[in-house]
Amino acid sequence: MSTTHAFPAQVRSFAAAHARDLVRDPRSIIALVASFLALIGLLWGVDALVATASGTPAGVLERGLPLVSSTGLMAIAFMLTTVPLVRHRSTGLLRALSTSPARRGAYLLGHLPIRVGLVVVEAAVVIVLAVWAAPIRPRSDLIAIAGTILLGGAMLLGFGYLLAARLSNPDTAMQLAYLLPMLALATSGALFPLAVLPEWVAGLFRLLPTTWIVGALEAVISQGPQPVPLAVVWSLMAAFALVSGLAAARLHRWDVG
Amino acid sequence: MNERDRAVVTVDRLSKHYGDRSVLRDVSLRVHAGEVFGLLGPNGAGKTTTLETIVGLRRPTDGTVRVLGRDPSVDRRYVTERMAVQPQAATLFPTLTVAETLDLFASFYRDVRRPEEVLDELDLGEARRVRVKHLSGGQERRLLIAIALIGNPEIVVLDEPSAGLDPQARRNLWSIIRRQQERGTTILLSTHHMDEATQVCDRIAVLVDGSIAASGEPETLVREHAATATVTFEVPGRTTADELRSHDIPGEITVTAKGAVSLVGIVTDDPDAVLRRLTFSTGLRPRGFRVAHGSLEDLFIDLANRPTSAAEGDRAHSP
Repeated sequence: MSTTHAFPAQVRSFAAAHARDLVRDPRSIIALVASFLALIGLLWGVDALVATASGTPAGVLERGLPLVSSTGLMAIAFMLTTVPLVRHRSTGLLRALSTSPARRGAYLLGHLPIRVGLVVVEAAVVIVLAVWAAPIRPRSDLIAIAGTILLGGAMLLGFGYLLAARLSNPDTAMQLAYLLPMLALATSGALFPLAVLPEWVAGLFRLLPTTWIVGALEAVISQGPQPVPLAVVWSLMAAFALVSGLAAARLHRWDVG
Repeated sequence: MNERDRAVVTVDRLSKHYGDRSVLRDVSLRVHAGEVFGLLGPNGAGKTTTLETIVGLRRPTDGTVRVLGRDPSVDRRYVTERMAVQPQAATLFPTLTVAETLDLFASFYRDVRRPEEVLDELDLGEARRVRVKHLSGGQERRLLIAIALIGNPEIVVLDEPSAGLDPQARRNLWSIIRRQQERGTTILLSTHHMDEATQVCDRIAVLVDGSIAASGEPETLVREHAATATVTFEVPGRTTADELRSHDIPGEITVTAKGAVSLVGIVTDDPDAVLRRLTFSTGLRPRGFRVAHGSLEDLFIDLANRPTSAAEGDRAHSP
């Protein structure tokens, strides 16, 4: 008779399975990379046009990096995390796993590595673009960008897992994956400065986690003052990631019914 | 107590309701160690709900379920380590190969059978490098069974294991079930194939409309509930039921004219007596005798078509 294999071995097996699942059906990744590059290309094109017309560098791409970063992170968190997890539930895969000794935590932890890898790749791309836009940027700024993107990614992934914990309809998950980024971009200051809004509305929007990411990146990239000290923002992000991740693990339901 | 008398699955007065809809009513059964127990019933009778409650995927509205003495919906880890399940339908990781899928499930257990051996046993050896999304329905079903067997479980629950399998694959499945039983595994399966129940099950329970209508060893049930046999033959020329009755032939007689002969069918409890009478009757010249004995299928159809109140009365057969 068998007894359950060790938890780390289960995590390793799930990590390999989830990575193969994502890489061998690359449509989601291709869509994500294409939209990420398209957004960068669009900002770069506008940058070039404005520079040609005015004769001076416009810095559109540089100022758009918070938008690029948050859009990419939300795509990883919702499109590549929430949607596939909900699909696993709707197809009965999670139900089949629930009748085996597979541990819920192992399944979820195994889901993480390839997504964390994508967040790291995104951070690297944004740093390259930041250096390309302003070659004499101090090293501390690059660390601040990297840290903000990595912790922001952790935070959004935690939220993505939390969303996936109970949903059973992949269509609903897909709709949320489209709707939430639009709402987040509209309220985070990535599309327009929050200062143009009434103070009480802007104050409300500053409480949203996506605004923390955009606000921190804007301050670093423009080398302006941080609205909230970076250490505080990072602590908030880490706490949000931890709490949402734990809640997701706690609430994660194997079955649909 | 004999090991074979030890109940490893005990269901006691199990009821399951969804709102006002009653899916299971007072279902009781015991599955003993090392036996193959079949749950039979027409579609919608409650077989899958019963199995899902036994494996802990659903909680009873009333009554109790115990697997190896534990509540399967509470002691999940204890039960899942010892009882494996082949669900009726589940999509696995579509992009993993057959071998990778089996390796994944094998990694959940400490003591497993060799994946190659299990794949060969399920006739999936040649498909080991095929991705799950490219498998046929029958191959996917066999992979689900392979997953259920990989961890050397004490109890295996198979929910309609032969659905979608061709006749040869079904026969292979029966051999696998028997071999697994020889290893000491207890098997609980649902099916609506009567030949499968006859071939592989030591005991069965027939579930009709959420209640157990009959249970026991297949042969005993057939003897008790479907004891009649049908004797058929043909007689040259024309004859009638009344003429046959005049020969003191017992049973319910039907006669159909077909060309130059009359086809006769006699439903009887005693086919031997009918054959004796026919043999020694003068002037009939019957030929082409066939005797069809009652089968599990007759029992199944009989129970499934009875009004609910009749099924209630038969619940005295509940184990």
